[in-house]
Formats: sequence, C-alpha cells, structure tokens
Amino acid sequence: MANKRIELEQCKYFVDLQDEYPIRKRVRLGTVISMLTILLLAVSFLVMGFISDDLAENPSNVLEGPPGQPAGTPEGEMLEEQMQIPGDQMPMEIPGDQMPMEIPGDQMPMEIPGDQMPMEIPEVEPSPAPADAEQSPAVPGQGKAGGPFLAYGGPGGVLLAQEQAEPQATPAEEEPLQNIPEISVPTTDPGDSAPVTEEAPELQGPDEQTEGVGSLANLANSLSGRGFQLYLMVLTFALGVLFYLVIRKVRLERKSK
Amino acid sequence: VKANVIVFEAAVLIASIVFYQGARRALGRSRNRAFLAGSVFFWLVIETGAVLGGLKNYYWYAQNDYYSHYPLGGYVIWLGLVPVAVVLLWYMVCASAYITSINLVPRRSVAARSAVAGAIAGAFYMLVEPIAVTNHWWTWNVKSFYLIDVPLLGVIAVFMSVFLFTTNFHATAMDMSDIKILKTLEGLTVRRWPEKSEGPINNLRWTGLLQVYFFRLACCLVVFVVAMAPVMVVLWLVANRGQIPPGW
Repeated sequence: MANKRIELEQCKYFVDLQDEYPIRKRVRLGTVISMLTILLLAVSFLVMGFISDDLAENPSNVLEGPPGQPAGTPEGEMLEEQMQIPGDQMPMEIPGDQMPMEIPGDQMPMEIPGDQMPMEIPEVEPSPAPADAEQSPAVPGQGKAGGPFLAYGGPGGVLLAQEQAEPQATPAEEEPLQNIPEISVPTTDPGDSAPVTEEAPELQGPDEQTEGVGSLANLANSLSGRGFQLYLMVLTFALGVLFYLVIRKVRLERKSK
Repeated sequence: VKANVIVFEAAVLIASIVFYQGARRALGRSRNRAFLAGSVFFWLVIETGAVLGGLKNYYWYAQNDYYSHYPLGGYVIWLGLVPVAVVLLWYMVCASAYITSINLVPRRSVAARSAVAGAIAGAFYMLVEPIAVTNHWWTWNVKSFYLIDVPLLGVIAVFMSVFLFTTNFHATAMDMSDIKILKTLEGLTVRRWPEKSEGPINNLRWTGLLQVYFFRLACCLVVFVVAMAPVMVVLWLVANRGQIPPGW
C-alpha cells in the first residue's frame, strides 16, 4: 500500500514535471513564436510612431491639457456642443492635428495648411498686463497651448482669433458656443498665417517645458524632420537584432540535435 | 488611421493572445500562467500606485472630451484605474526580455540575467513611451528629468521592476531555490498557512510553490518601493519639469 502511494505520488510529480518542463522541441517552437510576436509588436509600434510624427513635432502637444469641460455639462455631450459650429460658419479641416472638427454648414470647405496655423505658441511668459489675464482667466481643466482648440487660441476652447477680435470680452462672453459665430478665419493665400500676437495667459500648467534632449519635439524636428522616425527605426532595429539572435540560437540548437 | 488608444489596445490584445501561446510552450504551461498572473499583479499594483499618487494618468483625457473623437472613446477594458492593454503589454515585454536573457546569457548568474532582461525591457520602454505620450495614451505628471518627454523615473522604474520580477520568477519558479534572507519570514507566514510545509522549496508541490512565488512577489514590491523612494525624492528636488497641478 505504501509502495502504491509512493508510486502515485511519483506519477503525480511526473505529470507536474511534464507540465513544467516541456520537451525541448516544444520550448524551441514556443521561443520562436514569442520572439516573432514581440518583434511584430515592435514593428507595429514603429508604424504607430511614424504616423504620430506630425504630433511629435508639435512641442506643446505632450504638455497639452485636455480640452476643458464646462461645469455642469455631462461627459461626452460637451464635445458635440462645443465642436459644432452653427451653419453660417465655414467648415475647416486642420491637417496634422489630432481632433477632427466636423462643422456643419453651407459654406465652402476650406483647408488651412498645418504650418499656417499657430500650432506653436511661444512658451508661457508672464502676462504683459494684468488686464489681459483678467480678460481670459485660466479655467481649471483646460489646456496650455498648442492643441486643437488651442491652435485657435487660448484656454478652454476659446478661439484665439475670437479673443483677438474681442479684446474687451467679458468672462461671460468667453463661452465657446456663444462666441464661435464671430470667428474670423483667414482666407488669404498660404503665405498669410493666422496672426497670433496676443500672448497666452498664464496658466497653471507644468512648471517648465521640457527643453533640449528632454523635448521630443526637438528630436522630431531635427534631421529635416526625420529625427523621431530615425530614432524609432534604430531602436526597433536594435531590439530586432536581439530577438533575432534568440531565434538564431534556437534554430542552431535544433540543427545540432 | 491615427495611433489612438483603440489601435494600441487592439494591437496589444491580439499580440498578447499569440504571445501567450508561444510563451506557454517556451516556459511551460503552469509557469507561463504564473508569469502572467504575477506580472498582472505586479504591474497592476505599481501602475495603480502611480495613478493614485498622481504620477501618471490614463484617464485624464478620457475624463474630458478628448477620447470622444475616437470611434469607441478611450480604453475599452480596464482593471481598476489601469487599462488591461497596458498590463498585458508589460507581461509581453517582461516575458520576452526574460526569454531573451535566458537564451543569450544562459550561464550567467540570476542577477546578471535579470539585469539583461531589465535593460531589454528598458529599451522597449523607450520605444513605446514617446509614442504613448505623443498620442496621449497616458500622461506623465511627475517631477523628473525628461528624456524625449520620457521621465527618467519611469526608465529606472521599468528596469528595477523587471529586474526584481524576473529575479523572483527565476529563483522561485525555475530554479526553485531558497532565499536565505526570506527563509525565516516565509517560515512564519506562507510556509505555515494555509498548508504547513517544511524543508527546501524544491520539495513543494506546485501550488505550494505558487504561494511562495506570490509571497516573494509581494516582498519584491516592498523592495521596489524602498528602492524607488530615494530616486523619486532626489528627482523631485532637482528635476527640471514640474508636476501638473490637479485640476489643470
């Protein structure tokens, strides 16, 4: 009886061992599958990086705050309300940006090239005058600069062109929906970029922008705008070599058997 | 097609299914399950801590209207405060780094192999992170030095976490070796309850081994926190990019 029990115990451990120590052929196959999968994943990240290059070139993209949500507006509903401009406005498309704006209307569609719009707002500096800060106060939950909304202007979806058109606007008038009809979009030749003269108000964002090697935009804009892509390619290639070495080793082991 | 969170999530979910099949063969069925469960537990705790501590945020944009521009909104599947795709990504990165290290430097010590695994994971991290922050898959909010908008703290944390995790996995699930400094503590806790077991760890059954594995993983979390705390403090004092205040 004792012997039978020992035998059963050994059998049980043998089953465990089969589970835990698979045969070498199976291990080799699994290693190759794993390495190929992770290699494909790295390549897919490379592709995702390539299609994100235009975003990476925007220095304020990473530190951009999410678009603001007015108090009392349920999540999700705000977008449609904020993004839809009444019918008498011109539909716009901003290439190279993150958020497609669908603006219904009967006007002629117009495309504004990405380099014409003020995607890069200079670093936040102290407001030139206290009155400016009072006119466009920082609203919690709103961005700093550079985003789709902020490409047009200041915080919280308030269009910059509108801010310029209405320097005396009261805070109540700064609600995006009410002021959107007064947008003045430049329709001149591509040489004319939208004027951005008014400095962004001082917001409570990150203390300082990343600079030098700390900034992804610096890398992305270097080497004729290929810096980020080159970086991703080199890194993916290096990882690919490592994973290939494993596959090669496994294949050599199989051949030597 | 933009590299939005849905693309990221779909790519990772599909890859993780295939990768799991491969890792199951490469490591053994039970060991791979332990690796997956351990990595989900390990990174979920770390990532949740980071989110609760305000260092990192996965839903900052989801709370506002940013993700509602996408067909399905933001991340679809969550584990508490962390998207499942992120945890699965780190399972794949950690497992592939581990498999690579045991194949490329098989005769080195456990610590050396784990360091190699940590370095490989760090390289993969430097591939993923710039794309992630560019596309707002997540947002870093920690005071630190930044390298191409990737916080130095994150790079160190990835290396440390992969190093500790793979060391524990190899020492416990592969080598089944006792760790002297933990022996007394294990004897008082996990080796006493729910099933009393004595003797060396390689005499344990698989379930007993799993208990020891998760116990040691919890110890690794403590070591991770202890190791990262001074790094965080130093970076907090001298770093060049500040924290985004709550409510910004």
